Amino acid sequence: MNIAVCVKQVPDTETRPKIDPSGKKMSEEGVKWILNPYDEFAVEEALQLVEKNGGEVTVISLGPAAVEPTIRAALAMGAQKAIRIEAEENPADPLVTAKALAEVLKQGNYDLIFFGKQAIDDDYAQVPQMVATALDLPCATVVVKLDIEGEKLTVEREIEGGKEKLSLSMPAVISAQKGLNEPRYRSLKGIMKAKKIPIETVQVELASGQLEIEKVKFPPEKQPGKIVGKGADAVPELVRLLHEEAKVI
Amino acid sequence: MLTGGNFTVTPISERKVYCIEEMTEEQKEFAIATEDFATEELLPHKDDIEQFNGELTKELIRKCGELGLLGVDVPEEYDGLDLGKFISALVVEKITYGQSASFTVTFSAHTGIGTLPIVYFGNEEQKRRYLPGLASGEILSAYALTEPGAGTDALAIRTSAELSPDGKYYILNGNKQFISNGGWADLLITFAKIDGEKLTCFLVDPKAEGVVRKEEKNKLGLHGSSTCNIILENVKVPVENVLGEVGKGAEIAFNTLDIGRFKLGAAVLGGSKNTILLSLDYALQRKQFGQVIAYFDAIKKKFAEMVVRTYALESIVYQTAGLLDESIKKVDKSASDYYQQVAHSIEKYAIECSICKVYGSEALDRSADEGLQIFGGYGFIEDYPLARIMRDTRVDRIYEGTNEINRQIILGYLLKKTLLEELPIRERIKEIPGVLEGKLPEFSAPVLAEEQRAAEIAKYLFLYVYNQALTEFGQDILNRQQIGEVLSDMIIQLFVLDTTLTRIRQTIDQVAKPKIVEAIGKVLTAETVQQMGGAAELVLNGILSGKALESALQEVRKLAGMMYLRTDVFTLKNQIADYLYEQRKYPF
Repeated sequence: MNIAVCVKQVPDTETRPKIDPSGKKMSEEGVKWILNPYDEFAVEEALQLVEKNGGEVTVISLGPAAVEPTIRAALAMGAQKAIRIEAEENPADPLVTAKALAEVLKQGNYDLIFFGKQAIDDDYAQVPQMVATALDLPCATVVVKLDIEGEKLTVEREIEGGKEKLSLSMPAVISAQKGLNEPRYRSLKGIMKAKKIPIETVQVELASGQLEIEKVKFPPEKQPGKIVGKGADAVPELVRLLHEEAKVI
Repeated sequence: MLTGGNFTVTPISERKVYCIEEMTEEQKEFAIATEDFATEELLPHKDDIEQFNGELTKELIRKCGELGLLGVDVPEEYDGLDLGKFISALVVEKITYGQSASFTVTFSAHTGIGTLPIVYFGNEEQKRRYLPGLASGEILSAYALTEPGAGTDALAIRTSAELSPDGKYYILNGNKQFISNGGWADLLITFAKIDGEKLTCFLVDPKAEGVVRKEEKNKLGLHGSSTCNIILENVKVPVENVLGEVGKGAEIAFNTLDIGRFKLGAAVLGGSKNTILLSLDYALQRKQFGQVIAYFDAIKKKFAEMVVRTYALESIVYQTAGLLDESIKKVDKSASDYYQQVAHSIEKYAIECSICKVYGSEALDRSADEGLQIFGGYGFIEDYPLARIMRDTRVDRIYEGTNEINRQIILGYLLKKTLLEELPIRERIKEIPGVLEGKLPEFSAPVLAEEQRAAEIAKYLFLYVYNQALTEFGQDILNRQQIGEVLSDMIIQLFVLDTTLTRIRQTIDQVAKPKIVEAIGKVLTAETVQQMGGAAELVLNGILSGKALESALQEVRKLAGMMYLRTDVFTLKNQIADYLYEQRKYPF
């Protein structure tokens, strides 16, 4: 099998976010970067499939040379090849990213294209679907179980309140959700091996984005709670406050 | 000058150190991979491990094996990775992020004293038989040297080995004590005397007839690690299980200990970082007098000092690691006695290894104590994390050679290097009169110039006192243990100061917050030189008297006066603490 896994470098989940002086993005100062946690499920699934069925896994990421440690992290898990799509920074518009990825993916003749279900930084959860559309491929998102029989793919995906079972034909685009598998740790040997794998750099002309970030801000600080009284007597006041102040009922 | 102890004589301006800021991408990845494993796979189990769960611990050791964490020091041809001491220190440090000192001990006893003797002294057959299993974690190892009558005095062991009449095996009899991993081990690396005198190392199968593991010891700390006595009763050990040469056991015992000491430094470094993290979590939540306690000036001082100590420890551990790698790299790989030469190239840095152990264990001890103090009454309660840290670290000052014997080793090796003129100590001593007249090169370093100058004068101050002690006592100084310990402390302080300041000078352009790193250097230097000045005077009082004492004191005070700084450590400690609070964990 020939599998591609698209990965993204994101700030560590323990990062305490700060806003950049421009006010339009998060500050990158002192940020520890990691492989997007959902992408780890994608890489793991691809590796397991290749271990069972043969083939190879190619890791693809878009960004400046600074994202290479993240690509190496995926290689250290066991992927065989890597491509970095040159870009000065991560485009604010997911469509720009999706078009660039699609451009590279269509040259690879992949049986399966994996993504994490979303990146934990901007949380768009759009790129996998957009890539599938651009490549005119079937797509299953938020996948927690995956089986292959011949050319046929059966997946389970999480939906509101339950699970949905789908069958797709290959090639297909899959976005991985937590629970799909247990991602392996990078071994020291894996890291040493990964170091020897060249990361191919490709140039793609990036489309101009149609989405612009005007401002980012922190959610308002949580206000302290209020005790309005005790017992049934307090109910009318509680209802009034919920209606008039909190405006939730 | 490629030998240990040269920090006492080499001008600080010419020094260069190994440090984590200058790690390669690959080294950084090793660190991250180990840290991820420790925080995701070990940390959730820390309380289960503490319940003395051998099955779980062995399972986790095997997982370490799968990732290659047990094979860092094992040659590639025996399924190891042969990555050197820098990585091996990194791995031990990051393993401690699992916050189980018990697991760290099991891990270290296995990978250090439980594996290295075979790496360095095993023959081809022994290496092939044991190393792959040790690297994978299939075989758990224990090192059994100590006996009831032979602790610090390791050579006094009484376990005997007698060759059988057919010459096929040795018969071992004796009592081994306090053996880490003893209850769980699949292999014992032990020592016995043949004919009552030839100290020899043996590889013993604990399942062999006559090996009796006694009950687990009820320890003050490290409740999740195995420590027991092992009785050897007419145990038949095949002659091919002699490790190294008959009668050369001491070489194995001592060389292994050097590495053990340096690695203990790495472990307590991780422990120090944990201590900061856990104490800070509490201090940033706890309110008294309507204020978060972390912001009280007295608490800031405690955290700032923890950071300074930890930074200094980090500096010496990775410098020592780099020196060991550099020294080992110089050995010809094709030499037939390659691994013995490696062991000797490690011994060159016995001083640095012992300093890592002494300074590190005392740094963590101090931080744990202060951390517990920050918790107040809760610190004394076992439901809060500091009580365990405090209990667990107490043994760090005892095992791998007590801090007392290590202080002797530090001074003893420097003495040897002085007498054999491995270090140009006498030439430097001759420069002292000039220094007293103010002949010291100006420092034009872009950062911490005054501090480096002070560290340079501190070397002369030490050499002055050392020279007086040698003149008075000669080699008998080693028996004047009280004075010897003060001198050892000064040697430790020189290494810490020299290495930390050089690290800062070298990396100041690469760090995120140069001002804070600078503040660390300033606080460390100001406080250290002040202590050294006081110590120098006390030592002189113990060596000299009358006029000789008065004139020596005058000279020492002159040197000290040149060395003392005008640093406002209080303001700097505030800055260091504020930065720590912003980062919420040890920030370098």
